[in-house]
Amino acid sequence: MAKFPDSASVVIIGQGGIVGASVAHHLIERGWDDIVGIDKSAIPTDIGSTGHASDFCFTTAGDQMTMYTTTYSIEFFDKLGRYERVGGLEVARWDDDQRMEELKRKVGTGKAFGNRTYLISAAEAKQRMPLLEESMIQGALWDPDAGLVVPRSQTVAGELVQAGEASGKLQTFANCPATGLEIEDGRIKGVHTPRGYIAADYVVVCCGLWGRLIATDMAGEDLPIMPVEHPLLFFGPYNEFEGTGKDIGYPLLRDQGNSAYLRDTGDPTTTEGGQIEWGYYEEKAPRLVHPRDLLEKEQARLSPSQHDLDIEQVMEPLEKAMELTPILAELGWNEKWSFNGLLQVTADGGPSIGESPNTRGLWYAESVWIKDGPGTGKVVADWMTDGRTEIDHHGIDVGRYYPIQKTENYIAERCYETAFKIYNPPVHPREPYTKGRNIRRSPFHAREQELGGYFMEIAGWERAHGYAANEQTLLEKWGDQIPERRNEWDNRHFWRVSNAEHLELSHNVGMINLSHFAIYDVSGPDAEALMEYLSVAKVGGNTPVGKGVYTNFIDLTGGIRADLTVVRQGVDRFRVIDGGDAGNRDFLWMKRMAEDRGFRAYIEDRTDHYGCLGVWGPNARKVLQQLADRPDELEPDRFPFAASRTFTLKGIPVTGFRISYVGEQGWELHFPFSYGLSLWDMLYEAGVPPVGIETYANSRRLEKSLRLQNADLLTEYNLVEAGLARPKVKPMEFHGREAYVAQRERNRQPAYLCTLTMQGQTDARGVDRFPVGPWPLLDPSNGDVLRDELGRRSYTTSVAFGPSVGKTIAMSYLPYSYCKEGNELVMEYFSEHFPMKVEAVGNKPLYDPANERARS
Amino acid sequence: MKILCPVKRVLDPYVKVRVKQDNSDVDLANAKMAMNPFCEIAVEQAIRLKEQGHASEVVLVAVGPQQSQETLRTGLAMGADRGILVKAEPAPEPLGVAKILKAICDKESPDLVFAGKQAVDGDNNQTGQMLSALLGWAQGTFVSKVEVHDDHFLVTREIDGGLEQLKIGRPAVLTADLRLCEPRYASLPNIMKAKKKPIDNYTPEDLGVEVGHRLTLQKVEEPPARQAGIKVDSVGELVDKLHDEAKVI
Repeated sequence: MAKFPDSASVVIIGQGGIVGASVAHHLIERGWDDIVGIDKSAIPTDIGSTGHASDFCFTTAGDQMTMYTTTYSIEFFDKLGRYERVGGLEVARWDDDQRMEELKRKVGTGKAFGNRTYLISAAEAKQRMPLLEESMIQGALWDPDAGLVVPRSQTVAGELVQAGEASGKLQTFANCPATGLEIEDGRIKGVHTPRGYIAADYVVVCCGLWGRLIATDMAGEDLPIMPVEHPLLFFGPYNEFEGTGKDIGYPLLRDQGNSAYLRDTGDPTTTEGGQIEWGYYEEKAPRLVHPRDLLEKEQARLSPSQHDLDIEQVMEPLEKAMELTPILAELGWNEKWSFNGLLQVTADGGPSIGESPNTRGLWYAESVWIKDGPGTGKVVADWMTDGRTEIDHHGIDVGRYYPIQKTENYIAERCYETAFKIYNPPVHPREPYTKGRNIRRSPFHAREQELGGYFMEIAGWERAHGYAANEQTLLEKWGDQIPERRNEWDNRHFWRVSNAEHLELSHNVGMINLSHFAIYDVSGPDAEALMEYLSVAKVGGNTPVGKGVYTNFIDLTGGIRADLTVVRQGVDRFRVIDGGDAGNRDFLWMKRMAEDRGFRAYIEDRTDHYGCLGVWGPNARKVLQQLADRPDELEPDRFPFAASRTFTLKGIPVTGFRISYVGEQGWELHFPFSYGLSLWDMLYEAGVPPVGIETYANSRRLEKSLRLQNADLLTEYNLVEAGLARPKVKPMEFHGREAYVAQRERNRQPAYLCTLTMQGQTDARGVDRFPVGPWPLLDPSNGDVLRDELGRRSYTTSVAFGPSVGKTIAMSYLPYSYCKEGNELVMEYFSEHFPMKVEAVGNKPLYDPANERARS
Repeated sequence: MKILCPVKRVLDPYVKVRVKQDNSDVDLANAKMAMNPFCEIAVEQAIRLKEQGHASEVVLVAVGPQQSQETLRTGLAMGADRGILVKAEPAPEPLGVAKILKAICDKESPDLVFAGKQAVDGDNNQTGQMLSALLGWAQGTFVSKVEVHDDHFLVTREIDGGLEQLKIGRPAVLTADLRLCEPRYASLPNIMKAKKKPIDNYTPEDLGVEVGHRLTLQKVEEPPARQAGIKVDSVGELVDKLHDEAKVI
């Protein structure tokens, strides 16, 4: 037996699962060596989820990254000869029109992000899957690439580890748990095990259900993930595929309206063959299991990740399942094989991948489905090697969570909520969480509640999207310009009054609560050097104190990593004002850049110190001058656009920043939190109506074609494509400069971010539609999704109705050849095609294109 | 022909047995329970006899805590007709169970009692034999095959060194061995139907049975943990150790 190593380049904890094995494989593929894999049990695992998972894959992912990891994984399994592409069905029952609509949405999302799903009739579904009761369903989605990892993902994990060991670059040790991590000055140093200490530069935690315990007990942090029981039942004997040698005979069947799936297990002579497997995701009272309560191997009947199952827990959905697939009633229930498998749910539905926010060199790859296992291995290896991934990783980055989102109560509540929505009901793109709410509230919150605020949440912050109090006044006033959204889906989590507030702000004035802004103060001897190195725009040098600059951070390939505003507050003091959604990741980007490049700078989170209220509209200056102790200070010549100055409003100190995300005259007023309520009351009494965040974040943003990070701005695209290249390249060195310069010098880009409008909104039922979410853009001549020369697909990165423009506006990257103003395209929305016109190529807003209003 | 099948609720045989902290007994708190596998085999055989037309009714009897009702439902879902629960806590010893079953037999007058050869919790292998004695009926234990004839059963028993065939007069007590048959999985409709099948409830007092406890459980201990092995440097050393220390060669 190999001598136990005392050092390694990388230690993988949890080597025996599909994720650990895939991480090892891809690190080796990317040139890494000296990798040690340890596992608390066997390799491949006999205790983890990989050991019991149902091992099927569907490509019906709802975002670009998941589509990437899933399709990558399927091709990976397939290349190994370990994939049975039997196809898969998702069905909609006759009494579930909502599910039928959801299937249409999934086909659209699939076109946007890249799968081959399409809708088929009930008869076609029956033809493909004979166990189906045809009369029960109105239609189905067919995924030709769905299939099963054969014989098991556990086998694949074992083979990957063996190949890794054969390469000489990986050593593995089973029955060797991590008992502690050695962390020094915020950096990982090594791993303790019962067999000895291994010093390591990198440690990757791929422990699935146990991962959170490594984080909490050994790294002093937490991960917003939780195991949940997932009933898996077996029925037999089923001898349809006797003698075929198959692991699966019929296509996979998902009946998400019943939160259930069903598949056969092939030839009875295979290990688990000769049965029908039926799985369920609890819709009403999911049974979460704290990782602390996981049993040890010797305590469990089947394994620690397989809990006992009481059939009464699933009797109701099973009765429904028997209607759809009567075979379940004909066969016998194999109680001994059936169990509650543990899988992991997460606070926002996405996994926890990437470097620890607190410990450099400590990486997580947690809460990953089998279908994403190899793809996640690839992502982790690329990220560790290059610092970036092919697809923007904002949705999986463990750094996206703020500290409050990694606390026990929040994790339990949010995970509980995601657990009962795994399959059903369909989750709306705007759907707010009901749990883990009212955690972060602005100083105005009580007033907003009195006004009947329609609250949604982002990053723990409560934000009113509109105010019921404005319905009597503003909606009355502007109602004839605001269409009714008669389609329930389009109107869901939307309040019509928001558009009235939008119009009032455009014609008069309004105040918008922006206290959710993430604010970071950067100071210290190298603050200027750091900010200059991070930013594409010039923020240091001769940038005057008091000036605010919108800038992007880009990665080394020129991919857009962040968009935010940097205000110079002193020679060596900068304030970074950032969106609530992106803040924590951008904070880590700055902090790590400073650490890696030796900048001596302090980065402080000041979010909770400052509130922000935006006051905008043609009457903004007039109103503020009425309240200002020195009204003349607000005159345009004294307070130019993009300037940041401190002044007082009836004695209340504010820092006014003359910038506008809503394209109107006015200021962001930043103030110490304690003054917030007084400021709000003063403005409210002066007649400034509150305007919900809907106007700021959606309707007016789209009218101004303002790009949003993680929606329109992604690392897959560069600044020239996004229309955000600066007129000149600053002379100073900055991160990604070389790539940026090269991209600017190209004759043309593969794609450009364009603004489009809907040319007709009426659907086949005669109802005007108001699209929400990502939808594909098609070539009207052939109905194909547009793809640029790099294979990137065109879909609506943002879409909203603009009441001032009177049209539904979308943004989308279009391939170069389609980038012509006036060009007509088609958007697919719930299986219907709607005409779209390219209004602008690059950064040209529909509302006030010359930006005169904001500068007025 | 009416068949009576006693069924026992035991710790699921696939569960690792835990001992209570104070060593007073096996810890059953929150543990998965199941029908004793030998009882399951007997029930399966009884149902098959009914399906083959030999029997008209299969009645299950459980003696134990209220939750033994779940065990009855399991058998009812397999196809038994009705159940009888004799609620008795703590669980009676084999003689107590045999006396209760005797009382039930007096009420029900079955033609055949088909039991498991033993329960996997206590491994006593006594109840069937005691019941046969109390009833004064013929007995066939460790049955691996059974044929029903008009006035007798022809059974095959698994005994040391081979198989034994016995012709046993009716009524009789038979106890099932492992290879008698493979229990079926109950179908979902039958699981649901089983909920509606009748279960009569009794206590030992109702039946006039005195369940005396004659045994005292002194102490329950886990088997000693296996000791770690050692590495030897040569074949010679291995042979020496096997000879001198392990004394196996």
